[in-house]
Amino acid sequence: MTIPTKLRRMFWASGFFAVCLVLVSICFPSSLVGQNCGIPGYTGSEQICAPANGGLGIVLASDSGDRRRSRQQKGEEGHSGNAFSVLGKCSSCHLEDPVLPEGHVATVEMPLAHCRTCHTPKRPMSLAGKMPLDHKHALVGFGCVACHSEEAPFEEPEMEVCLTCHGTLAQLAARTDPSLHANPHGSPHGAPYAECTLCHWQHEESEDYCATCHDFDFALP
Amino acid sequence: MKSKYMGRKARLTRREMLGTGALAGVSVALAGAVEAAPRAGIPDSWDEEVDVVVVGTGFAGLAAAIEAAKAGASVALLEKMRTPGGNSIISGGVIAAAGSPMQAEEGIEDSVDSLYDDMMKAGLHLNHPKLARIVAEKSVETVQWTIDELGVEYRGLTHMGGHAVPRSYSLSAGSGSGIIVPQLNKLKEMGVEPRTRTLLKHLIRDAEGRVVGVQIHEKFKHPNMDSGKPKTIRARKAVVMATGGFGSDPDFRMLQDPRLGGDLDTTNHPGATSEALREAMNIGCVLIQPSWIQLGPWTSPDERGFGYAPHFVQGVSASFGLWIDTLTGKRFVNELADRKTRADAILAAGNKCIAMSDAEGYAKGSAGRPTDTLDKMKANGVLMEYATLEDMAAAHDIPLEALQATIDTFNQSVDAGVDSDMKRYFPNNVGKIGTAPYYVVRLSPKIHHCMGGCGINEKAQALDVVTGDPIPGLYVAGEASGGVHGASRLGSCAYADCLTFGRIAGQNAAAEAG
Repeated sequence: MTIPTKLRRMFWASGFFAVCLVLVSICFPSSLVGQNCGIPGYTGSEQICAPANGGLGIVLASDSGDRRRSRQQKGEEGHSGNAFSVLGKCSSCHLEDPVLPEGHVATVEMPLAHCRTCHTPKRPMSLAGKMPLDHKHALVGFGCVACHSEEAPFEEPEMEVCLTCHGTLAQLAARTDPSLHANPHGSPHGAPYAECTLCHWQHEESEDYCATCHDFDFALP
Repeated sequence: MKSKYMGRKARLTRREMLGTGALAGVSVALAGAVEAAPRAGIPDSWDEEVDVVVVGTGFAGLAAAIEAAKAGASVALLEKMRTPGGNSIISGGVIAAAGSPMQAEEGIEDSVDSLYDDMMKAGLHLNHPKLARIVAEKSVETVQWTIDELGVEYRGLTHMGGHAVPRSYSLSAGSGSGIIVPQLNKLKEMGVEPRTRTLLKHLIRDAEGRVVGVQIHEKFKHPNMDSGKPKTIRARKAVVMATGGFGSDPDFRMLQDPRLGGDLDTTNHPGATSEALREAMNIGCVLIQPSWIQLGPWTSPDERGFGYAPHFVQGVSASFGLWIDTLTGKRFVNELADRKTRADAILAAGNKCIAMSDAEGYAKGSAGRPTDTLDKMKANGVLMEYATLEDMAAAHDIPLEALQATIDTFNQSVDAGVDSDMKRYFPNNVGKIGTAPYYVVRLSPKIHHCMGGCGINEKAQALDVVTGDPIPGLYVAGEASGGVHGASRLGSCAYADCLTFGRIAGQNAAAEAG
């Protein structure tokens, strides 16, 4: 039976995550109470919550993100769709180019949460720096309009857009690996040196801006 | 993952720095048809008009923007990098003020003349006297301005090399961000925000010789000089150029001083390149004293850039420890001499010198600093700790007997209250050396400050290379200008220079007829 792409996208974008959230809430009942999203093996604290209106999919707790994200999760056409035609299907864009190591498990229809069962953040197998951040966002269901406007010009979003999900700078600094001898989110050079886009780029390889002067060598996502 | 750095590792080629020619959207008057250095003509129509264009967002640029906006001028504030602040925001956090309230509290006598004399002496009297005197005269007023108008916080006084007495206010923030961030906040209140990733491509001078606007590239991506989208902005009143020095530009450095090539490390941020100065020369500014490029004597070969080393080398060792030539076991310079004297001495000694202190000296020199600084310096490999003097001597191949004799002499000097060896200034709490453990940072000078730049007058107006007169509509302030510091700048005098002349430039720019 062939399922039309759009329907499949709707399925993954809505039903799959609803199921995941249900499963997660059964397996990790306390995990949805706090900031953690409750994804096994994931230690971040993005606010991923079930929508209050009873709809399906992932939306943000904040008002500013709700409208865009929930529409995106319904798989609407145009730029509101996910970056992947099928979640985790690399060949959607990369065609025949090998982008995964030989012998890698099949990734088609795999959300980031499942990637992280092996690729644990902050561990040697971490995905930090191994694929563009827009891919990671897409793998948790956040496509173009999660950050950009629906129509051109698609400008670089304000930092507030990032912080909506990722927390304040103070929260980020507190979450940063304490074993590092310098905190990239708490630079002595002040808030201008904690602008997200100084280091973290979505559509090309991120750059450790601190490394233009220091030897810190952060493994940044 | 090893990220691709876009900093010093991506050297600009000469071709990139010079640009490749005229850009679309601007009619070009080719003076003498020299294609490699085209002057931008006046566009048929401007994309935007403001009263004052300020280029650069270090201390000088932000001070100019604040003063211009305060005077009621509309301001376009341009920054080519992704983040504002230039070298200022990553700098060491000290500003000189002669005869200040904090000195009065500590019973330190000081005067404008004393600061001026120190600046002239370090500058080998190549300083332009009127400019140097303005910085000295306004030093207290400038610090007070940062406190009263910006809410800047200071933690105490520091004694910087080459100054007769402790007179440098130290920022509580520990870095230049302690002034830059309040400056940015002030500007935001006034409705002015820096336009990052906006490159100054051309200064536009009209037939009468007046600078009437700029051609810029928006969405510029350092260091690709052709990146971004051209746009023109008319400056109804004036342009303020506060584009900094060229410490991160090995090609231009070597044009001025062939010894300072690409292998030398620098404390500067990667955007400290020469293209704005080249454009200033291109439209007729006169570059003065560009060969005087300062090496900071307090940096380490065991880390890149400014790093942690100066906290120990200047903050601790220069006042409470010793600098030792490892070949002889002897001191080789007054540890509180000016930067040029010390950097030259390190190089003359074969670049194999160390800065050291004992445990008590460390405690005194690091008072008020975050307590984890010591651990960070050790973890980073820049600071080494030894349980005994013998271990320290062995690790650095220092003749022990000579080293011990040097320390004995120093301790006798402490008892006598006068440094018999180097005539170094002793603070009240200077102590004898002898409490383990011992700390060491290896020394290796790095490129730090460009004393030369555009020639200016006391109003911060740029001077014309042909006539020597001010170029109407163009002001230059901060490291992009030359003359204040002569051959060598004293520590903490850049803050005073940049903020003072930045304010002067902004006030005068806003006062021009629009």
